[in-house]
Amino acid sequence: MKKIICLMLVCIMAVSFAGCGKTNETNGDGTVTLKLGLPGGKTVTNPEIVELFKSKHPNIKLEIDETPWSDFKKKLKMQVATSNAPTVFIMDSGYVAALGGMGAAVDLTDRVKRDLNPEEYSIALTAGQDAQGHLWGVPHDLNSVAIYYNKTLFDEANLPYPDENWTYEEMFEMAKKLTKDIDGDGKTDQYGFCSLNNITAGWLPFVTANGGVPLDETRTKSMFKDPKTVEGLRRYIEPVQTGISPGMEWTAANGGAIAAFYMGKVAMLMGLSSAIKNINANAAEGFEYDVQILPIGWDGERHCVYVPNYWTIFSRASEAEQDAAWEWIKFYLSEEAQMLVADEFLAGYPIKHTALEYLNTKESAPANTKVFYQGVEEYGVTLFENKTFEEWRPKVDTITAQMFRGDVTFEEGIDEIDKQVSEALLEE
Amino acid sequence: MTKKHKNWGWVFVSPYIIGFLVFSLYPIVFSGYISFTDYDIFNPPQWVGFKNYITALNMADLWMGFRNVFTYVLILETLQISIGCILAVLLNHAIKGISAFRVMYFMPVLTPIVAVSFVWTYMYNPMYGVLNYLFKFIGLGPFKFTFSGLWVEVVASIAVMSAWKGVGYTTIYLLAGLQNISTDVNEAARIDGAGAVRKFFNITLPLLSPMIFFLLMKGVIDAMQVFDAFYVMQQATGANTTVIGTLIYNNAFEYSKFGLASAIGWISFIVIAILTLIQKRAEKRWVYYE
Repeated sequence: MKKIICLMLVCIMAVSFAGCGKTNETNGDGTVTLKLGLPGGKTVTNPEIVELFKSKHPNIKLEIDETPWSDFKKKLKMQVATSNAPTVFIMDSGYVAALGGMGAAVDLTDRVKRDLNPEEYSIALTAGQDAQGHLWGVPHDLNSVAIYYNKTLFDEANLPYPDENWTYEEMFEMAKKLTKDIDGDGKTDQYGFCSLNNITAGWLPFVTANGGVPLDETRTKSMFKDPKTVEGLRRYIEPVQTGISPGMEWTAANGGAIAAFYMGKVAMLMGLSSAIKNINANAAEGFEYDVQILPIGWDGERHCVYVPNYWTIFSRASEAEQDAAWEWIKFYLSEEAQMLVADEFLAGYPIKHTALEYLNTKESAPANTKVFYQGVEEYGVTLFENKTFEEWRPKVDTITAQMFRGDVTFEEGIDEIDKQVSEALLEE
Repeated sequence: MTKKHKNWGWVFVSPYIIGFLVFSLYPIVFSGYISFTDYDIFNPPQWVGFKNYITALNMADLWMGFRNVFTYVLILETLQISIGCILAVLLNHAIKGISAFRVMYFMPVLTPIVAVSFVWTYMYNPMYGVLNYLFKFIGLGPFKFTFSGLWVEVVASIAVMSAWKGVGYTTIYLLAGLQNISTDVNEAARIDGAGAVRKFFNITLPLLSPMIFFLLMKGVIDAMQVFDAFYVMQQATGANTTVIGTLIYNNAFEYSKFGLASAIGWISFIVIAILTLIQKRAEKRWVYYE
């Protein structure tokens, strides 16, 4: 009986510790196996780049760990917990900061200083730096926010297309003229603008356009009660309250803001560059649209929110694997690979200037796509990512949705946002 | 029984025992331990005493979660038990094709909850959903269902979907209960001049009460742990439809706060245990055993 109980306990312990192994180190033949985590696989990372890397680095054996975007983060969290994460992987900016905070990502500051010339790259190269100066990732691709507009609806309303010198006030004026009750039933059928309930293409552009910020410089203190931030949020809520933008319920019932835009129900949409693929794939033939840079803010400045996806190196990989991972990143940021990123618009834009210049010479749909990356260079603003970003960000979104609907007064909403964000920031 | 036979006995029951120890007892004990620690599953747990419990009890979302889950349980159990009783009585008659009806009502129980939730989300869509189209014929609606910004409308809509999915299970149990009622009792009532309605409320229902009690206890325990339907059907309308299941999931898997998530899990366990004890205490007042 004792033997059987001992055997059971051994089994339990074996299962408990099964996931605690160290990742692979150098192989016997002197090669290194590099496990590459690719969410979305070939639809996100150009396979040509992978093949080129293989041919140029015979001493590094690439092992691709491919998972659809929607499940990649969940899978990665478990892999990180069990020390089985890919050596280098793509991750969104919010989670990269969290990984850095918990010690699961390698600080790339010294490697970037040693091997890359920042002048050859977009400012996004070091956007993954936290308030303490640690660089937890370098960009796989770059996404940024601009205004999408439906050219047909502008033509029908006899409105000129927006130019690069426009302001938020002018955008609201246009939106008013584009908001229509087409069938005369007393309900709006076409909205001039569509407010999104998120940080990137939602409240942050309005807050920054008003000179406000969500967090202080150390990213450890809420600034949601700062008068400039408060005023920015008031202006963010305004389009829904004045009826030039639909509420969240209408947007959700119409399949989301992007669907409402390409179905011609919304004339202008603040959106990420990644929405282009969705619009081009789903819009009906003859749908005419273009993009314009974000308007000049109430503070007289322009601020363009951008959000890269990052290459991150797992801290529990061996030294040899980390070095191989850095070789991969350096190759990905080389002229050769960046031109391939520019050639096929998969997840976002390249970050090397020469590749961006090359992109300028290419025809694109929509025609004015350059505003996405030009805006970043001159007026770029990141999402204020920190270790608790994934916790405080959705809390803000939930309360702003309640403010849109009038469930809470504007003042109550601001108090609640400040309280909840401050609670989440206690961990910082 | 010889020692050799005894040992073989242990071997035969060991798959269950090992499964129980590894997948039930160990996680329960471990979650109890980590609820007193700061634990992100990457770094070793750091002992913090009751901090997670205090944080959880001060979280507005925890109380919103209990508000939503109590509302959900109330609507779901009311619908499931009442409709289940009606269906069981109807299915207890010897009519043609009764087996087909029994299978039909039980089929949703066998359908995966995620698939059902997606289908009902389409049915609930205020613009294109079939439900508003049907309600229009009888002059009702339009309703926003799970696309509403009002938490109570969202919670009620999910409860109705869950009731549809689970009523077949309740019906089968109640049908078994009905078939266990002695025909003598009904016959005696009929001789005494009791009508169908009176027989149902004064004979059938009291004699079904042990089964209803069992279904209610089990139903409340299950429903308090709801997760899948809310996770799939919640829309980005800003309505606070957090339930305890989604709160635990978010804290553990989104924010990597496994200590706090475990503390919420243990608080939820205590609440469910109290509810079960209350139901057990109330049993004597309304449950009749033959």
